[in-house]
Amino acid sequence: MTTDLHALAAAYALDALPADERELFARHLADCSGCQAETAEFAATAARLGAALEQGAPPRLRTTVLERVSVTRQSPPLTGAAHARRGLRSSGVWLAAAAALVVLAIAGGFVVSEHQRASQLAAREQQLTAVLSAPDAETARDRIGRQGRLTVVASRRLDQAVVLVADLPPLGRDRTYQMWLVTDASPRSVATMDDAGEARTLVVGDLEAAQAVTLTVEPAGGSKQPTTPVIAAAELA
Amino acid sequence: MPAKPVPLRRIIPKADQGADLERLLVRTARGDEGAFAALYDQLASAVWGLALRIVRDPARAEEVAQEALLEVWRTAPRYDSSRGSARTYVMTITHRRAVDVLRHEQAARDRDQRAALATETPYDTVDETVTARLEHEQVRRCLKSLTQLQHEAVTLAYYGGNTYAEVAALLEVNPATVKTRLRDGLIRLRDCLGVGR
Repeated sequence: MTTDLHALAAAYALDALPADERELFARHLADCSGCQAETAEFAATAARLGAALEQGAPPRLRTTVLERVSVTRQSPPLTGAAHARRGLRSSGVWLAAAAALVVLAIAGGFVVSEHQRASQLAAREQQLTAVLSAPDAETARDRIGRQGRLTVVASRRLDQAVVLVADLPPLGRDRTYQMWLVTDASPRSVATMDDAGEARTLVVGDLEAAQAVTLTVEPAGGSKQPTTPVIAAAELA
Repeated sequence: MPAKPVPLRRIIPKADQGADLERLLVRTARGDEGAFAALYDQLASAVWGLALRIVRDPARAEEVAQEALLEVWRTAPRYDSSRGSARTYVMTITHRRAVDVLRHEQAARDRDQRAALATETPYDTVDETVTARLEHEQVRRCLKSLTQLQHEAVTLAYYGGNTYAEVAALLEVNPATVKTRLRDGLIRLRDCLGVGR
């Protein structure tokens, strides 16, 4: 299996990725220092394209900007802890995906050794990259409520999909979101998500004849089969 | 054509100018408004030129330029010079903002109009300083070194603000093909412009 991350890095640096794919790639980039160097060069190249258009700005722009700056607070710097937290957050949901890949039932939390987690993270990174940059990658999207988004990037050739879920409306403590892979037979549960709002990515394997990724709201702990109507669906090509 | 007076500016060797910008941005990160003003003076015309090219409308471009520069001010504490130059930092923020505004108003724009506008390359700048003109020429020359297909894809993407899927639709080719052209085109540009050396 060959991966061509460069294909995505260029599109990313040129801002030629739609918002959800940009988010997916940016999250991958945060975990992949090798990719960062390549993308940084592309960003610098793109910046040269932009800077070549230089022309005198209207004088009032300076006044307005400096005035606003004098009353605008700056962000705090990123500390090492903040960097690390970002990496850990994105690994949490992968535990659910790992279960989906090996078709194990998820029954509450389970303990994973440090070594397993490190190799899982590395494997996840590779999978994410492979799917996103696959030549036959197809993207499907749906909205969830007003703000929420479901995005699926799938590669039939790799038989895998990357799923991004973001800005889910919060649920009560007695309910959970559940993600399903819909086939001709009964839907297969992929993961449950208690934590609304936070954007998370998932790698789903064994697509086989799956037609769509769907989302329902189920009782806390999840259900064996969907018990409520689908709230979002992304068709797989 | 009547001779147009070119504003004389001290020609600063590129390396020094770059170092100035990094130092200014680092000082900006500590809340130094004077340093930010100096940064503004060096980069505002690049920010403005790009914003105007992407969103076309001068009023919108002013909004984009303002918001981009404010974002530079706000996020300066997160700038990491090991990740790239200050100029790249500022242009990246500007381009992303301009493209987001453009896409937000996508519904109001005729797709064909965007395609027609987007195929122009940057020839039409005014009031250039000597160094700006040299840079302009170098970028133009390097864009010319791309194959026509790469040139089209890069231009529609970067200057036209299109996603690779939109570029694919405009050029009537496979999205995967566009991604490849963007990559190959950007690599050629990178090497021609001497980025990262």
